Amino acid sequence: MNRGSEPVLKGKLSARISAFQLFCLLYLSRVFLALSKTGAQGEQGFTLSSALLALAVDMLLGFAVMLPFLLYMRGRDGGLLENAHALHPAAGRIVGLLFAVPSFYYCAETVYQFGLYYREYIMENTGTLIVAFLMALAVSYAAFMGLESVARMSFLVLAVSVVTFLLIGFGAAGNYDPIYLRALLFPVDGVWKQAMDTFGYFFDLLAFAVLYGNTKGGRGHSFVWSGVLGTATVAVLSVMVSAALGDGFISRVSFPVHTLAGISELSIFQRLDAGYLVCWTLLSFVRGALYGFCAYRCLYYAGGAKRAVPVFYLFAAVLTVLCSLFALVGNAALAASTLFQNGLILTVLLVGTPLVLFLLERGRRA
Amino acid sequence: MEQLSEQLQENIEELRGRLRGTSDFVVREMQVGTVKLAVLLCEGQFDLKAVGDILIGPLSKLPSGTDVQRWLRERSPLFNGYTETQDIDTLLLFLMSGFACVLMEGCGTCFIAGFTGFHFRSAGEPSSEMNERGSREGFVEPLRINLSMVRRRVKNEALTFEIINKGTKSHTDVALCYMKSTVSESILATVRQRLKGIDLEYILDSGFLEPFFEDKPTSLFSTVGTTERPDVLCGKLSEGRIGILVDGTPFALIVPHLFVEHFQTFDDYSHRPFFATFLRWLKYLSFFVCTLLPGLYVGVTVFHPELLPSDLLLNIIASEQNTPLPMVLEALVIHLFYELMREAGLRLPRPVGHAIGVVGALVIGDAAVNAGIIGSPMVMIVALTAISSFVIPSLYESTLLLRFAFILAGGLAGLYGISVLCGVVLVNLCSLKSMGVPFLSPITPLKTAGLGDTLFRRSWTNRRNRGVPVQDMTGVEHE
Repeated sequence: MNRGSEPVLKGKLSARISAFQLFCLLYLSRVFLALSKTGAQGEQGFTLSSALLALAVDMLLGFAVMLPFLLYMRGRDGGLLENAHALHPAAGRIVGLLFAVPSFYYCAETVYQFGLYYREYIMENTGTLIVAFLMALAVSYAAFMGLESVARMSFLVLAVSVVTFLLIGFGAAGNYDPIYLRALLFPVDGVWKQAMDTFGYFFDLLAFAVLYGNTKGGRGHSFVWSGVLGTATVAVLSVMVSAALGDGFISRVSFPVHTLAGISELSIFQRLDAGYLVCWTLLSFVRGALYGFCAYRCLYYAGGAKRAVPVFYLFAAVLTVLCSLFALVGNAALAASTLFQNGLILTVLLVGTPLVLFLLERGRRA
Repeated sequence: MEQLSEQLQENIEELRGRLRGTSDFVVREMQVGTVKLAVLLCEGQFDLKAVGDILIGPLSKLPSGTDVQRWLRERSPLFNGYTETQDIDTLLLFLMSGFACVLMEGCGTCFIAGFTGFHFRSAGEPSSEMNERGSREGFVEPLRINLSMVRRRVKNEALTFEIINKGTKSHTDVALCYMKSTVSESILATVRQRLKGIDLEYILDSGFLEPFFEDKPTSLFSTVGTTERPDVLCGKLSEGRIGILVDGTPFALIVPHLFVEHFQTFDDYSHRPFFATFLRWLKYLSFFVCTLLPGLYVGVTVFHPELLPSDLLLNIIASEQNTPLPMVLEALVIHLFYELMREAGLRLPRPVGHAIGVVGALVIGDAAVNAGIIGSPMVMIVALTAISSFVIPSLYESTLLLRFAFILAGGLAGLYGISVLCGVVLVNLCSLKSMGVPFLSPITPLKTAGLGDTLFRRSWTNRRNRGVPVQDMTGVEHE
């Protein structure tokens, strides 16, 4: 059997996963945020209480933003891309292209974060390009394997992640100082601004929209639970980091959970940063593969939903170039991040697309 | 299809011509009254005493005028199988399977009587699957004896055998075994279809058929199981799996086959649950050790020495600082030497085989370390890896290649390379399916009912431990 044949790849593009697997994918995507930023990055004078509230606001905003999409999809078969394509092939191409751009960015951003972590903490002398290039290849391979494979893997990574977080949490218990948690009692200030600044980090909204048609039943529940539990996990990790390293730590340092793992000691495991490293790599891999698959799928519809094999090669080439660009030109990553960070593009896509499609369908029926 | 003629000599000449004058083609011509007949046999395939006592002897003593055809049909219950044919190809197939074929002058039909009596190895303990408890009986080469072993253990009308002839030149008998009450009809249909599509000329081992039942024959992990034990096959049949037995080989194929089955042995079900669970976890640990340990050792000592305890690090430095080869090369070379010795030990005659152990101990364990070519920690790593790989022999081929890959990944990129390769291997494993059943079931996709025989072994008194039919695993498309 030819693994790269058109029917095989088309089958992988339309493969179906369970609601639980969708939950795992969305949860891991959201938790990734905690390992790189903990949701309170870069703002001076920001308190832990404000950061936690901002997380909750972002979660609720996410639910609100997805409401038009869920209302549009009610009673329809397939997903947004399929419905757009069914309405008109041109609509399918436009929607595919519009969703492909942020998907590519989110995938490349994940690879960039992955490389950044390695350069800063693990192998300072490693070439940035080789790390990004190899990871881009690995992610492309995972996307080629299909959504089912990535979804099955996500459950295993979820289990590894939960165990790792628990071990880090218990291991760092000796370093928790309640005095650092006094920040929870500080007045809340600038919550809305913080929430707006970080809303764009919640890429899982896009993944949900793209993979809606690939999921069997219970999709809404998966989305809500992944949002709630994912936000709760980010919040707990933020509190743990603050309790062990100080309130200002999470707003000053990238990858704070790595530092927390470095000071965690647990019996025979000694330092837990090696375990964190494995967890981080697997989590990055799954997240990158998730958005890589989303990008491939969107690109397939952008190409008219005809040829899966050449679209895959195009996807792999674009992803590799983008990841290499981010690795070589740090400003490129920063510029793209500024563009997507506040979530405006994401919101316009997720709210505007179902609305426009709905109006077009009404117009057609009329 | 060429038919037999009514002329006896013409038939005999035709058969001699088809068999190209082979020396093991035996023709016993005789006459009963005015009727000339011939008994055709393949030397070495038939039971000489039985043929003489039951067929040839009584035939030669038949009075003149006896209706030989009717006599043969009445006597057929004494034969070990009886049939009639007018087709030469069918006659040849039965002849070469050890049947006696009787031809008569003036009759275009051949009367085939079963007298198979070829020599075969007696059923002994299978060398590839040793168990502490459980039967000492393993499959042998003749197919029908293997089928009888299965039937003896499962006296159930639902147990079904389907015998098919495959191999365009070898005409090998292949049997499908399944429980009609438990098997998935769609999986069975797929197996039949794949078997029908096999167009090999010679089928000399079940391994020849194995790639035809895999969706990805090039994958590192096989999605077709094998066993040499009839009790294991019966256990698998009860879970809805299908067994494929091939005449001439004691190894049965089993589909669907899941990854977790590599860590299950028949002994687990005879031991107490807590001990069986302990052994399962030992096997899971062994898998990780034999696959990852050499790569981790190389990766951590070269790229991340700060992760090691200081005492251990100092010992490693002391051992490795005088060795001439880089760590990754040292690991590759020493593992290669070990594989050379293992392969040599496998092929050597038994009287000489023990020499391999002596040579191995001297070459690797002593001389190489004393000469400063390799460090003693590396010898420990090789030993631990080898022992771990023997705990799960069915995964030896896969873990061997992965081991080398992880050594390279660790040596080139440290924990980063190992982690990325782990991700790639994991996604590859997750993509595999065996006859439509996800290969990593019941772990992912999760099927909690199946976990009772995966992560731990529930007691037989627990009603939930009655096994989950393989087609009921999560992720399987139901018919």
